[in-house]
Amino acid sequence: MKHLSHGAYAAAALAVLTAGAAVAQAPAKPAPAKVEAGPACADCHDEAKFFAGNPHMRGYRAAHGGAAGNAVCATCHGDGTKHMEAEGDKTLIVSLRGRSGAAVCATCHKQSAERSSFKTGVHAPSEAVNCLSCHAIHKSDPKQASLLVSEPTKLCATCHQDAASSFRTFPYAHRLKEGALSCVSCHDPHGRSAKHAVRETRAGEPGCVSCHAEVRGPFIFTHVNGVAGDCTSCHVPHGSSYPHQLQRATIAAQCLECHSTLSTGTLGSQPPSFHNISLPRYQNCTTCHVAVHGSQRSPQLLK
Amino acid sequence: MRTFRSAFLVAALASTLVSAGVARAQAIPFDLEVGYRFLDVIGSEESYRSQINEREGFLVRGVHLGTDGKTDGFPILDHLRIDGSDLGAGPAGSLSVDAGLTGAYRLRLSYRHLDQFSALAGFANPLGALTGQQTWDRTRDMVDVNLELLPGAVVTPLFGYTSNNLTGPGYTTYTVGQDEFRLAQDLTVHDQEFRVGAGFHAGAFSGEFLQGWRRDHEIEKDSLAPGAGAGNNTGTVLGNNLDLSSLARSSVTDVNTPTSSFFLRGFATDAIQLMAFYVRASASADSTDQENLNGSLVSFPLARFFTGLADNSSSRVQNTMWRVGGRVEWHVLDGVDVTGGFVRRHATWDGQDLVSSLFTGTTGYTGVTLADIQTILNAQTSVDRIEDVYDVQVAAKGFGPFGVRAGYSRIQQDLTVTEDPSEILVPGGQGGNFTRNINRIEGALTYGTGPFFAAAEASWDDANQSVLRTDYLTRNRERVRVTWKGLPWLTLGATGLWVDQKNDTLGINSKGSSRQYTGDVTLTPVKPLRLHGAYSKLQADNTIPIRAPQDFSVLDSVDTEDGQMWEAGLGLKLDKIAIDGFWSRFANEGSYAYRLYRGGARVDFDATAHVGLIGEWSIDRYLDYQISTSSFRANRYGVYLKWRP
Repeated sequence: MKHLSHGAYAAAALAVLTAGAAVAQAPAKPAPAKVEAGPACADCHDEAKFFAGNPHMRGYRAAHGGAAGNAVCATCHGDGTKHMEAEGDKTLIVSLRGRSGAAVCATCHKQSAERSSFKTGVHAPSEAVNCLSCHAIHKSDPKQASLLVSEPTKLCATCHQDAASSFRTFPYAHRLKEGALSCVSCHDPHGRSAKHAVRETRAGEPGCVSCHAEVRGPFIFTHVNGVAGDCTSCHVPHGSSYPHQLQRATIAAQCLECHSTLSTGTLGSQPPSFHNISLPRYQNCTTCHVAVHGSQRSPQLLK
Repeated sequence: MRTFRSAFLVAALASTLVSAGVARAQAIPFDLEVGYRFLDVIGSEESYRSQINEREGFLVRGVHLGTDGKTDGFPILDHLRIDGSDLGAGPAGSLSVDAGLTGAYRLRLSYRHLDQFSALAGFANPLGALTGQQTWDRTRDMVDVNLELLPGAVVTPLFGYTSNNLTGPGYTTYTVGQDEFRLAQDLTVHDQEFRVGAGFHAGAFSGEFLQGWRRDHEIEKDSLAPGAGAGNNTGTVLGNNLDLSSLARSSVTDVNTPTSSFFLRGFATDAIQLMAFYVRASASADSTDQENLNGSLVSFPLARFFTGLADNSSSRVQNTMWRVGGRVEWHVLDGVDVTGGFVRRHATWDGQDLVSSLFTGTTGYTGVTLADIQTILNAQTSVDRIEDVYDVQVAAKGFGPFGVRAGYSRIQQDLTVTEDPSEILVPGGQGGNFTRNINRIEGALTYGTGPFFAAAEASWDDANQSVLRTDYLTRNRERVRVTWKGLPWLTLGATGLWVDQKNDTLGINSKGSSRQYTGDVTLTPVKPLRLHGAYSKLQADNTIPIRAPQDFSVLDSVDTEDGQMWEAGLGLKLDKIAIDGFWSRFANEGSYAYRLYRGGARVDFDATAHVGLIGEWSIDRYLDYQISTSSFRANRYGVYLKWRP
């Protein structure tokens, strides 16, 4: 029944907002238009015709009100008078392509965050990779948020074919295909290079626990997470041949690679000798150690 | 229940559309796909559901609405965007809303629903390749709401709410009295956070303060699964069977976590941006657990048989995390930027657990009846971890077609784990002080000119010692991507990824390598037709010696991947019809041999400008060569109505 109520909330929110938008259409008063004399950008560029529906127009509209013709285009492309006079000479208009074009975007989008930067992030603008590689700034497929060229997972696969194929290759992988999440659910495309621009929770925990809250803890008998490793110490987020996206084919191998006291000075105890790993029972450590992510009541993570 | 939920969603959406359609619906960019998906599974349905889990039922395949620039007459809204996908039969549905009025507010809401299922043969199963003993069939519902008032103003109030609700049945196992028993498990986890704060923008400086209160409430109830009383062990102990007649356990955990974060950013000059941040989260977890069981069991530590156990525990753990740091971004000259920063992360865990176990009906090994016996465990744990990260990076992008990024970072970890006697089974490895320093040099190079694009990135890590045995001392990762778009109808691409790591510490001697090569080609012989093909080869080889517990012999744990993948795709878009298809085959001959075939097609037919029909078919075929009963072939067929008013 709880599912129903969640679905109901979502559908109700959708209904209210959609209806609101619909109502918004009814009294639509014509916006105060500033009609300019002479040729308009829209005479040649279809992008200009559709720009009224672009999020970039929102700020301009708030500041200047209504439609503003060529002045809107000039915000990024500079004064287009000479460009028009020269019958569309491309050298006489500011292009947003390449590194210099990205610099135009950075006029507004310049503020860095704790883990992301438009200047030094992994996708920092260069001639080869820049804002236009991923964003269609004039018009975009209406199905894409953030003016992305295509849906994030497909877009990332353009360059990261290897990572994208992992999700299709392996039987146990996060459900990108089904749309449960996308690359940007875990990675910040504007993030800096450390740890592959993987997102974290605000508190600094691995981003995995944003969804997998049940393993977030804190646990009195904590295991790997946050102590000396993280989720990727045992799991492969891009997909694995093994159940639960584990790194090893057998649980015993997964566990004993740390839990073998062949050396000193490492963290991880040796199992007692009754664990005969030649028997199926002891090849499956989590049969007994069910609370492998951490426990509030069992030092040996038994419950 | 699922069908009802799906039907409800469809009905709700239909009513939404009617309301939207009443008022000049044709003015709203709107796109809806709704229909029914059929499912046909041959082979292991459990394996299919564990891997894919697309179910049969009603489905809102997609819904998109965007009103940007078309709400001028509505005073409380000047943009609204709604995106939804796979709402209904699942297994993964999402809905997001982004609405606002410029300068007044911005509201972002997202909802996700996930059906999580796992029932894997051979996993956590002491009896060999039979149905797994640990399974679950749960749903997760996640809601995230963020409201920003007066965006762009000097002070911007911020409000947020996040909810993550996991619930549903499952099975787990429990070890008691020298046997393990399958338990029916009912789990409810509700994690939610409220946030309030403010952003500010004052001249060259801006920032944000946010205070959050997270509350996690977890309830787990376990009972003996039907027919599981005999346990997994078939043998006897001194002639006594080990079995359970009843078990009931109830656990409740509450976690409260206030989290404060502060971020400040400012431009000292046009070329220098400064950042500072401080985040502190303090989680307190209180847990109580009650367990009662009856049966015939044995405890070797107590040297007794017993017929009942009443177990109570209460625990409290405090986890405090904070990090503080700053960074400078210096725009040195056109195309050249330098950044440098420092972060200190500190985390502590302090826990105490009091466990009282009452063993009733005890008898000695000779059959003598003895008094009930109570054991008390008072465990205390603590972990203290400090991590310092220094980094500096240079990004140079002003050299014609080249872009260069280079960086150096140093991570210093200091970890102290206090061992508690209750944790010690075999001496060694449970506690101590551990330090580890990692130096990383990394770089990236991009080159783009005309139809040719190349990108290379690499990182080289060097650590002084390991904390876990699987930690590396050296790790090198290199990746190259090349694309060529020399002809209007042809794009070629190739990717190579090389990862090598090793730890030659005496007693560890681990080494691992991974190679992945991908080649892809895209053809557009005529404009409406797009063909895509790719080939990938994956090889991985990891080796580390381990000690077998039963005789302390040293074995090599070897794990390999040896796979080849072929992919093909097709896209055809004509006036009223669009066709997409894909096929892939992956054969892995590594440590776990299997083959995976995936394929599908989608036909999208526009009957009119506003109405269309979509047919979808997809197939997944999994051939498991280790546990053949896990293999399956699953066909899904979907028929959807498309409406674009």
